[in-house]
Amino acid sequence: MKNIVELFLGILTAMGGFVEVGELVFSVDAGAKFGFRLLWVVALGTLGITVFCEMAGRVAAVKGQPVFNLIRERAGLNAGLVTLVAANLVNLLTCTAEIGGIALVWQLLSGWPYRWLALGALGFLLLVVWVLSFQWIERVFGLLGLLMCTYLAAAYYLRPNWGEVAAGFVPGVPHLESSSEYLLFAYFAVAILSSVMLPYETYFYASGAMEDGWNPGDVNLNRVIAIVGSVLGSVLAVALVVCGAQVFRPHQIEPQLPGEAALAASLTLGRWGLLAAVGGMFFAFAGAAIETSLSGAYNLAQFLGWPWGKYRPARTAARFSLTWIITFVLAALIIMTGVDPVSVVEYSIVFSVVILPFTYFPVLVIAGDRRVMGEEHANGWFANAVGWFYLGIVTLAALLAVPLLIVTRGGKG
Amino acid sequence: MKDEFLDLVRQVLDHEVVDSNNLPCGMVDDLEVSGGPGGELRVTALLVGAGAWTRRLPSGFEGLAAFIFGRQQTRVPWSEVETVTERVKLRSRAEELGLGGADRKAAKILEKVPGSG
Amino acid sequence: MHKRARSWGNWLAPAIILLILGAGVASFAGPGQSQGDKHSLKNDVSELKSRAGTGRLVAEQALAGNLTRNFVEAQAEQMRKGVAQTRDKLTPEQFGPELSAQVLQAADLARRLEGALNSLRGAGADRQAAESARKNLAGLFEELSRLEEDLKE
Repeated sequence: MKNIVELFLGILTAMGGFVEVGELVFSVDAGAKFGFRLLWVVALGTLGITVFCEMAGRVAAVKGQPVFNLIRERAGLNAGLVTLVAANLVNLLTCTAEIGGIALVWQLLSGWPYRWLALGALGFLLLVVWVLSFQWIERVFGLLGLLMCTYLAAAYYLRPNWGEVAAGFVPGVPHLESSSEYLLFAYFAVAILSSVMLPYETYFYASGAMEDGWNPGDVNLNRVIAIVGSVLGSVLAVALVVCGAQVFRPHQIEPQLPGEAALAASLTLGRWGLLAAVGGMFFAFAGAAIETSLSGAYNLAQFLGWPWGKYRPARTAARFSLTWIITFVLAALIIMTGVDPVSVVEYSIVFSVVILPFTYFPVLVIAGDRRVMGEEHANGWFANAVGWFYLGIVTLAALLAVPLLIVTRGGKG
Repeated sequence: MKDEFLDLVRQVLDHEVVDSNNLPCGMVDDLEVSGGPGGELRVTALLVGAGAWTRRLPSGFEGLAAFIFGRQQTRVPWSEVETVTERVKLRSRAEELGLGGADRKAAKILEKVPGSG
Repeated sequence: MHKRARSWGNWLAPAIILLILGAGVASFAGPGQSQGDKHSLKNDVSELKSRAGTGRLVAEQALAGNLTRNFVEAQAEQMRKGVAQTRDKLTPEQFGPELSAQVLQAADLARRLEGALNSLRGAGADRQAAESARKNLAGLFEELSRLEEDLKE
């Protein structure tokens, strides 16, 4: 019984905690620009994040080692340190984007000034992470993030041509007008892949497995949660693409802001739909902000051998606690300088894909090492084949991300 | 230890160090070896702390890292090592070995906030 | 196995540093600094057009009673900020002299768009004000679409 409850909660939290501000913005915009033609990239990314979360969770359950512990051990001090710095800069950037997103969303509800709301978001996040236990953070933000399912309903009521939606899952490139349009398509493909496979999700998932005290007996639980959670999460991403395609594409509008996405809900479900969508975005962004700041602290602590974990009282994991506090503060300060939140979101997605290969490689090597994992728990041929395939994909995406950012002038075409 | 020999670089260096209560107390940031050319080399201690790992960085980065993380390091005699698995487990508690001091210092700041216990 | 992992480490560090530096340089130097051409002017105009289009949607939804007053105010304000950012880029010096007529036209439309979004923001419960903002935004959307088409070829 306890296991079923845990499974259910795990799946729901994985689903609700899956969408963050970058994925929201890019998915809706991708639908507005290219209709359903990028849906296959969502599916591609979903299988990838499933495979790597499953591996990272399995290593954490079997060996009790989270991602950055492995990176230090396997890649050595120098390469590991560079990966750490890069990963935590990206974590900070993502956290900044989420806090910007929270401030924008709160503004939609209250009408108060943006910078004050960013400060309020900082206070809220610090208080919540300080007071709530890991399990309650997961539950509150995961479950209330399920308000994002409003977009699922909206996508349904927008009556898309389901045949065309299905056709979007077939990998391919549509016929476009010019070479710059093709480059833009490639840029969006990379961005969507990145937004589905965001590196912090793997760090957080593996560390979360240890926060929950998983052991080798939880390998099957891990598998089910990784698979079902990411798939359901991606259903939300698909719904967002559909909303973009149905609401904005006919008008040739390219949405950028969370509030624009929410119009898809008000259009179909009225005022309550709007409020549910806005609320869902708040909990999803706040959940992601917490996950990124905790990931930053997990990474640093695991690399340097500090005691870590929300399950420890803050006093006995003091440097870990200070790290997530400082991450929140820095992120909020960046937002309060008045940077354009839309650009922060965009860069957080592009930079994320750049570090993906360096996150996945050590996980793949360890999970496939029979001497470390044992015959029983090491990758089978299938997991290895899929893992190396995805390492190739994310490496390609990482190499293309920055050139595409430049030639498409930040995704403008 | 089941194996006939211990691969220091693979199995010890850059692994997590835990004390007798399984509390993480740093990484094996460097190893101290005694003896000389022609004689027998022995591992005499684990070196734990920023002072040990910053020295291993390429020159140039060493100073920067030391500026951020400090130069503190603790010497843990090899005789304190109980087992070597994924983690290097010690026989004593962190405080007795002088490990985890930075965390206790940081804890002083957090103790003032309610709910830190 | 282990040796392989370490040699991987040797090229990994420079590889990440290069990628990150490249990304950093690109993000600062890439999109912002270049002398504007017809294509980037078209991009700016499409961006304005998108905001006009969403503004019209917001006005329609507000008239249909699907939005809250705070939502309309804040959404209009957030979009106005974006428009102001784009307008700041629309000066003839930023673009070649052969484009100055279109640049001035775009800048003028941007200013009117800001005004329209401002009146949408202030419309509140006043249906007539919301209706006139909607008409205004729809008109701007058409004008911006035409300008975008002109800049396309």
